[in-house]
Amino acid sequence: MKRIIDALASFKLTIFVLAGMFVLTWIGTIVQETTMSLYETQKVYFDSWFVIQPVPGLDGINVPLPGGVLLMTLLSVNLLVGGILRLRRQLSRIGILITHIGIAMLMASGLVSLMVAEHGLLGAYEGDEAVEYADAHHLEVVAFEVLDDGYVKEYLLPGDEFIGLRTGEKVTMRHPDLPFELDVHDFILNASPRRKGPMFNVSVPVVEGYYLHQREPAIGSREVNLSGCYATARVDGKAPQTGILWATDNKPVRETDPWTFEADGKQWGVKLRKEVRELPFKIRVDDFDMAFHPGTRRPEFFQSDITIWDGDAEATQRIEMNKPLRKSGHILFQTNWGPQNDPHATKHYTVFEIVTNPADQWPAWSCYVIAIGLLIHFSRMLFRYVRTEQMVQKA
Amino acid sequence: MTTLLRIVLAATLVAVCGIAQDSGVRREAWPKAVLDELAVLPIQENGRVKPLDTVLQFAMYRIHHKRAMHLPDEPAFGVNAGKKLQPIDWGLDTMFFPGWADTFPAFTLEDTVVLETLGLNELAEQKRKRDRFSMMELAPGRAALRDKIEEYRGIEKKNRTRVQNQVLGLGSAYLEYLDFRDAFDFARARYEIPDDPKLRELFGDKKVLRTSDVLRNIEALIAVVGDPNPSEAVSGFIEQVDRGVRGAGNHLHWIPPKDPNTTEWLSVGELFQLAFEQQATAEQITAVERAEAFADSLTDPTAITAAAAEFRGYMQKMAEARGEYGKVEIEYAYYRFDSFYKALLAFLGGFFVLCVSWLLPKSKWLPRGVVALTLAGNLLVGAGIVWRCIVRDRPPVLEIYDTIPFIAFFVVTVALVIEWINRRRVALAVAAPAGWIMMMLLMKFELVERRDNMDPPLAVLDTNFWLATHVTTVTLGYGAGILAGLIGAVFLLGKLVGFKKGDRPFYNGLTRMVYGTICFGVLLSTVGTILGGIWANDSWGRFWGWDPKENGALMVVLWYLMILHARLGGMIKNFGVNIMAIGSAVVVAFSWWHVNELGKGLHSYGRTEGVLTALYWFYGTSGTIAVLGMVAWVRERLAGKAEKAAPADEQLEVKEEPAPG
Repeated sequence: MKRIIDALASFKLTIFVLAGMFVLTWIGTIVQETTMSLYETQKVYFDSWFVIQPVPGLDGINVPLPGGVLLMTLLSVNLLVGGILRLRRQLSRIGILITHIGIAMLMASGLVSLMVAEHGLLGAYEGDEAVEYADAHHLEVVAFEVLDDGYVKEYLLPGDEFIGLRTGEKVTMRHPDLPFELDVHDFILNASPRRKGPMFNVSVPVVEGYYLHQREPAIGSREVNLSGCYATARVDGKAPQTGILWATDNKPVRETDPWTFEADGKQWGVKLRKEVRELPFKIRVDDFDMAFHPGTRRPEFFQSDITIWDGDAEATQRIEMNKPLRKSGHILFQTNWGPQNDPHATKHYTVFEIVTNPADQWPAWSCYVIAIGLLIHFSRMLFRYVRTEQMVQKA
Repeated sequence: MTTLLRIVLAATLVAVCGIAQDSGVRREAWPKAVLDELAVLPIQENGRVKPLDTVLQFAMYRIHHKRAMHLPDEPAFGVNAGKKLQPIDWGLDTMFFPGWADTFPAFTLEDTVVLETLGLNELAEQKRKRDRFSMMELAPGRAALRDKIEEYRGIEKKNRTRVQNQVLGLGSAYLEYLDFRDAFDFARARYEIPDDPKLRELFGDKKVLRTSDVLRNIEALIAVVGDPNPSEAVSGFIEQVDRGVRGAGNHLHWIPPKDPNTTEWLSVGELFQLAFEQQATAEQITAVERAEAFADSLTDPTAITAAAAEFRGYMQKMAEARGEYGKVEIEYAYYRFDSFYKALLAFLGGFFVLCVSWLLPKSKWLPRGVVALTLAGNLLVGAGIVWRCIVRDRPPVLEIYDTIPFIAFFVVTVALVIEWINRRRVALAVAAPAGWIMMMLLMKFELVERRDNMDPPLAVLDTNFWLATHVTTVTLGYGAGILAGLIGAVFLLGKLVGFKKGDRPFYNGLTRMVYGTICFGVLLSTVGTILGGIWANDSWGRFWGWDPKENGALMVVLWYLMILHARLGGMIKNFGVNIMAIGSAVVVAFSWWHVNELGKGLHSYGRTEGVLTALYWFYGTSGTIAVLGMVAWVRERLAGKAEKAAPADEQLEVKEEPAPG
């Protein structure tokens, strides 16, 4: 056991991990120029345990490398065991200890962000109020019922097992208040509906002459993928009805109509969309303003003035580049605006990226800790260096 | 091409240009006062108001690929023959003596194959592979150039050949040149009033109008032009005016707008377009008049200086009224003083004195001279950095250009401090050449980048707090890697050539310097990189995105940490630390420059011609030094083993051998 702990605490492991991360980061940078997008690079090199790396110029020869997750795990263990727990408790090492604690905090913040942080988008025109926003990645299936008074009642179908279904696979979704069951099948991460021609066959269902065509998953940012799937509604005593669901809501610019069918004498709608989340407060976009540097198309600034209602409290706030709004565990970033191709638009919309991340400020705190630790240690070393040099000169 | 032919061609082009009267050939040199006045004419370009001198300087980089234009000593060049034209001289010649300036060899082609592509084979044969050409010489190929530009623009950037890129570059330079050449056509233009009752009613007995007259009477003219069936005479008149102001197009924005809330300045072409919707202000019309008066004064040496002063003075007043003139003269003074170039000379002088001091090791004054010159060079670099901060109201590092003087200042300062502490004359020996090389790199980069490096930043960079913290610390972290690499090179090359052989304290001292510098680097790079993550978290909502520039910064931190931990763990000793220090310079170069060349990511500055080649040279040189260092290490180890294996009396003899030097 001691030998294992010694190995985990050793400088050799530190060097192995640092060198491994260095090589991995270098390859992950170079491949972005040639073969891979940023998103793919993250998946292959940094969000993985192992990487099978082709050797350039040697066709078919691959080298196994430790992936980012494995190296980070080893670094955490090495840091914890060797850099904190087994570090000699001497006054001269206090700076190192503080630095290592800061790095551990930084890594913990990375882990918490990876596990818990959620990203979403909220778009609204000037004058619009909003309390809901769409998750950037997660999808949900929702059914609608048109009530007699014209209002729409929404039924969220629990579960997201449909994501990742392959051709021919299905999951059944139910809701106790709904008179039908829904089989969701043939999920496609990035899809577009196309008319089925007579000269070719497709492996997915064709609905009223249309099918979902599989496109290359959008690279770089996952949120631009337009996912699609099929839904078959099964109602007792009736033939199943199949429709295409396509998640193309892009508020505030576009809201897609649901697939509709009849069940239990009523009209129902079903829709695939980005998960809807709720802010713990309400906002209204009062004004959006932006400018280019004169005579250029280089943005000088873009900013939104909003009013916030939190319970009985009302406040106004400006959200701009580098100055997000942090409130009640939610961070609102100014991320986009529109319409961008209409210089005479009288009304603009603004788009906020919304992040929930309990570790949001941990990197800043860890940065202060690391800076203090390094300053203590290196100041000591500088002092020692000056003293040594003076002694050498005297000698 | 003969002189006569040049003149004939110039005259032909003037005739083709139409009513804008060419001022012919300049008979006397531009008076210094005129150059001084017009150099600070405020111009709005790329989002800021700057001196005309700055606009012309970068235009010359793009068109001529040089800081100044040398004209052959030929009669056709008149007062310019055999002279080196500064951007302001060349610019004023181009704008006010266009026909003559068209004969200047303003365009630089890196490869005359471009000419063959344009069907100018005969011209290509007469010239060297890399040569300069005048507008006159290139004019016959303009139709082919237009076609080629259209064709090559359709090709994806990464698939274009070198020649195709050069053709596109020539196309841009050609258009930019035309923009300057025609920018003041309106000031020379005279519009003959035809014999038309409506026009006579409007202008009375006047025979000729100037652009300012047309602007002043634009409303009445619109009524005449508004006639659905204008007479032939009126149509001809309108055509004259159109030709007169067309050249001003939308280039050279020197007229402030009417509305104080509008930010975009106007060219004369734009002023005309707007004047059809809303009458130009009296100030704007007076500005045009001042330009005309200056154009009129070109043939009158007694009036030219006053006309230039009036023109510039009036434009200064207009800009001041909007609060946009404040930095124009400071910027002009910055470029005029050229502190980075003076720093280069000081560092070069320091390096020269350093070399002499090696030849005369007993001299006490020579090392002091090196210190004085290096210090002077560094103060000049510091002055340049501060000057730029004042002009932009920004912290020192905003563009990749800014990183070079900033790193130079840091490297030289730290080297001088180390020298002050240990007085080994090693850090001093590194300081002057490092400063000199970095200033050379700065000059070269400005020339190849060919764009104004003080233009305002994107919205995301509009934060002085993060620019002052993250950007400066990361950049200083780079500087530490460069300095460590330089001292490491001194160690390895010293060992290789047997300099101070057997002087262990000397080499231990060098390793301590490298190690200390790396410690500095760890502090700055780690804190700087994390600060960058915090900035990204505030801008984009994520701390880390594996963007190439972020990766580069991380690689620098990882490399520094490897050196420290390998040394602490006893895996490397003196040689290892110094060889890895060379590696730190390589990793810094990768992060500093190479990742920008990848053209990917949120931090991409775009590719710059020639940077990759320079980088590969740097990697090769550093690699060679590292390999030579390893050879020295192997040699020393073998010698050490032999020493141990030798009998005791032999060992004694070896120990008694005096160390060279």
